[in-house]
Amino acid sequence: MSTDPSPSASESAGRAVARAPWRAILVIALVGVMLRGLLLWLVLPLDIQSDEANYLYLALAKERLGIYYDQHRYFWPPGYPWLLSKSIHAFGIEGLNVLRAFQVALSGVIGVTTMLFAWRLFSRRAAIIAGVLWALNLPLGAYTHFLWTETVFLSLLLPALWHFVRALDLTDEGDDLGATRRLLLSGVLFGVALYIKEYVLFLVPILAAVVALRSRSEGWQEALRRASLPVLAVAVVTLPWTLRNHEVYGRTVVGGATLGENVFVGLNARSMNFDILPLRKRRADLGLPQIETMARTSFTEVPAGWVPVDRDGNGEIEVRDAGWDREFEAIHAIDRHSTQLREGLAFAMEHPGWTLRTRLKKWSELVTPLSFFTRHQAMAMYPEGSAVAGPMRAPMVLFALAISTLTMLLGAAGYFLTLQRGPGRTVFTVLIGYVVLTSLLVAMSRFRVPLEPILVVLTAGLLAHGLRDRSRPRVVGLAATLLVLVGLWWISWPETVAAAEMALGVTR
Amino acid sequence: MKPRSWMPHVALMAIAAAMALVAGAKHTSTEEALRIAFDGEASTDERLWAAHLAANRATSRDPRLGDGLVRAFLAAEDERLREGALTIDLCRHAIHPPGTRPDAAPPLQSAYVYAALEDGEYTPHRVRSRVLFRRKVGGSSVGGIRRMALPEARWFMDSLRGTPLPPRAEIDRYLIERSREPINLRKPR
Repeated sequence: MSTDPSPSASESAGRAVARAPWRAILVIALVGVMLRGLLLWLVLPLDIQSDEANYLYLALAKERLGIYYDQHRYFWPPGYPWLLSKSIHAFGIEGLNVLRAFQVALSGVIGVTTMLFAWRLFSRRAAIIAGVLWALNLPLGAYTHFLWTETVFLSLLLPALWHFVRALDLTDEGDDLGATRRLLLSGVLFGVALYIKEYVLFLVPILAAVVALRSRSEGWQEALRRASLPVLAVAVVTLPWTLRNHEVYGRTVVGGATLGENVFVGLNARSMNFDILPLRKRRADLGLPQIETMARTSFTEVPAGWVPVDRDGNGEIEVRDAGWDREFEAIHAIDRHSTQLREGLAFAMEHPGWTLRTRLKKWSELVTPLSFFTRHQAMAMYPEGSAVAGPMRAPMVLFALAISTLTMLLGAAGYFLTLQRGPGRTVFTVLIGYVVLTSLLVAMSRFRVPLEPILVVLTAGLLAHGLRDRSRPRVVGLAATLLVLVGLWWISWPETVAAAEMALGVTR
Repeated sequence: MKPRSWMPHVALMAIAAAMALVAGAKHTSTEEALRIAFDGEASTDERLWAAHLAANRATSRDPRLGDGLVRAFLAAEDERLREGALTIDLCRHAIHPPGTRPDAAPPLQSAYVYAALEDGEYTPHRVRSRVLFRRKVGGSSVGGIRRMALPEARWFMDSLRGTPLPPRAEIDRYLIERSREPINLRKPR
């Protein structure tokens, strides 16, 4: 450690990747994978729930009928159900566990990239700390045994971002050929990621704009040449799917089409918190009051004068009854989008006060210290008699809550007071802004997952190098961010406590 | 490759153009898709794919698909074709009698899935039909009610692999238990 110099005032750009502490990185990644493997072994046999069931339906239908069907309300990209169908085709229903094991192995890519970022932005010491934090990151690690897209998606997103940052480094160094290759590779990875989640669809053009802006001193032609590379690569990689969609639907769909349904859920009168909603059944079984009733109503109550739509026509107003209904005339989700988007925006404009306070609620749900691990515990999804549901339950839940809380707090400090100027900071800023803005419609702890490795990197930077830059703007920036963060935690505090108690097994 | 070369752009555009040309050459018109979907001589895969195209290109409910093609598929000998009638493609074109509740399930498919058991036992086709119809994503108006659960998925895969299904009593008991789950607690959306 003593040979590890403290990084200079800017990021450590230009350090040859070959000089990264590969041995330490690979050993820590292996340990992290083994810990996730151990966790998987402890939680099996594991039931499915929520979207896991929907992915499985799509995989079964594909296996039997050879067609990838849309989901009527959504049109998800096909990658994850395809992986699932391949797995159950080869291994039967045990294929679910095989896919889980595959995700455990794949998470090594997330670990390696996280450490590389910490090394690139800070130092070898930071890389090792980031590796340890990643290996022990229970909320992130738990996704390896969920049949959700997060692990596969992150294992593509992080390398895509890594190659993008390296491309910016190489551009700064004047290595055009190297930069071109990295931009292409980054675009290809973003393209493959779009087969898993359409989430990054608008991130790529924003990153392309970053390339263009950073290249503007070399003329608009060169800026265009560089910026268009990742966009074109994404377009080509996703083109087979886009063309297939055009053949099937007669409409252009890149990746998937989920906006319309997200607008229905997010710009409607009812507040839906997806870390809380699935707990309804268990709370009813336990005779507990529903968590929604504990919410701070200033941030959830319906707009004044609101007349709900009795959606199932049973004469009773229920949690599913909304301010406006889905477009039923349109045949599928793709056609429903534009109408629902219009409807949602009109509702938001009609109720500006409601729109503002519920957006704060969305952000509050994004930064909640809860996670899908704690949600699984709260739903009692882990098998009875297993260590995870038994003696280790409370310590693990507390640890998961602590990890989420601390990485947000320390990560914010690392961003403002430790991370220096440079391409890495720019890309991290874009990603953070993108996640925050896309969470304005629908938010939950799962939507924070793309930021988790970034928070780990920033936390590691802080722990390795302390407060390196205490200039006034940075200190003010951190103070404001922490104030907002604590304020957002306060908004959803009653629900967070109730859900955390359920996760801990305290059901008073 | 020279630095600052536009060659990668040209290569990418060429690949994209080639893919677009191939897709254009393989295009099936909607009329042709409809013809194939009804064609008893066409293979099951061809008919399923043709139905997929016709059903999804439509901009409004089409009785030819929601009634005519459903009846044709459900009357087919091939079990895969009958199961194809139960997916989202044709269910979204279901024609309901006047006065039906907006969330009522597609009537033809519902009648097929809930018909009396042949020989008093669940056949593999029967189990698959039930899963494909009732566990689909999309809500009750297209036949979906309650999400897939692991035992059903296991039976589905067992049915494809020729593994014997559990006795009727066990399946019935399971289905009755599932039907008792309150929907609005399980499915907020």
